[in-house]
Amino acid sequence: MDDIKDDISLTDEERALAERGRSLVAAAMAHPDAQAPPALRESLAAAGPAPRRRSRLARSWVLAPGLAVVAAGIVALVVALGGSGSDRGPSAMQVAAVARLPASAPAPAAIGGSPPRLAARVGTLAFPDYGASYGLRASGRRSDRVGGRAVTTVAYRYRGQTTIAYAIVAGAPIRWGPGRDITRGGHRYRLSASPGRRTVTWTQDGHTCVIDAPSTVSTAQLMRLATWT
Amino acid sequence: MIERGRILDAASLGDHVDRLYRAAWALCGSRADAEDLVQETFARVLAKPRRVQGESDLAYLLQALRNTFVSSRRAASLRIVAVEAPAGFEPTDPSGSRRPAEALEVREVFTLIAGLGENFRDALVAVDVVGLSYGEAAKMLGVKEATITSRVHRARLEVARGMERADTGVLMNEGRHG
Repeated sequence: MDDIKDDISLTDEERALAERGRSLVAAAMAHPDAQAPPALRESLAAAGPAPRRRSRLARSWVLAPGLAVVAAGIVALVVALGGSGSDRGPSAMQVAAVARLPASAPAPAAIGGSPPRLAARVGTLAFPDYGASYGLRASGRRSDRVGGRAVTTVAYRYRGQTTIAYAIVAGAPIRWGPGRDITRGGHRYRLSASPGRRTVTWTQDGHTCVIDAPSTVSTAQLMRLATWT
Repeated sequence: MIERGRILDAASLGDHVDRLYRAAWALCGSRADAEDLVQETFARVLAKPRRVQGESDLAYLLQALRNTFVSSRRAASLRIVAVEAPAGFEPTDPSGSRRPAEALEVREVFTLIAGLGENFRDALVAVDVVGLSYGEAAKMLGVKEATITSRVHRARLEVARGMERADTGVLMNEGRHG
């Protein structure tokens, strides 16, 4: 309270209220919710103190809106034409562009298990059921061919609003495209971004998995979904 | 005489994660954005060896966090805004024992701090959120110590008033929870 007394511009009532404000802030800072989430700690630990270049994720955010619209149009055109024709199939960004299209079929049912899965799979790889862990409910699915590859997508919704698309590309791993890499549990994940979107790409059971989410979903949250088992 | 300073100890960055996360949350008003801000700050700081000129590591990192916040906000104003709901998603509380009202109040405090005027917010974040001394905060923000004292008090006052309004449901009605 001593320093508050020194501030002559505050009335007694205001000083008392300011003291309450100080207590409120102190209590909030001491609350468990104000601790850094474990996923953030893991991300920082994975990044490590080794020097590295500034992330392309951040640089891509400064794209001018007009340029971004043109870029999105080009991506859509390439996807519509069926990809690049490369032996390695489509790029992860092409897959993400398709994955975020509206669902064309009902959501697959939950089939339980540990960890819980959905009744949708590509080869041996089943789509996760995030409902119990994160409140993300499967809201629909779609099947496409992109660059000659079968792409199966399950859309998830959070609180009926935020939509996240999880796509699995059948066949051998595809090109990941630009981004920055994060290693978790010995596995490599590539994070990339386009205006308003974030994407993480990785290989699992020999297939390429892509999760596309709005940029309101943090990188750490995206990584929770990608590493969920 | 030119002060050469010392090299920031990158290995000790982990000691400051909690404080920087709280500072980031108080700047952004959103936990998802706070996580991104801390990650981006660490990525920038770790990109090359950093020389600390007199201030503590924590003060240096807070300055880096604030710079990253300002530049990311500038970049955000140039990018297309996502049309989706601003809410991210949070994992189900594994403990199940926390009182929702308490957690809500914590969020309200952070939301209120983020909504303060920039000068008041930065002073409060430096002193009450991160725990810098008034002198360190003044040096970091380039103002007199007395100015910091005044701003911190005003900021606390605004937070208390905001919480009083929240108690009457004002914040809920305005949908300002992040």
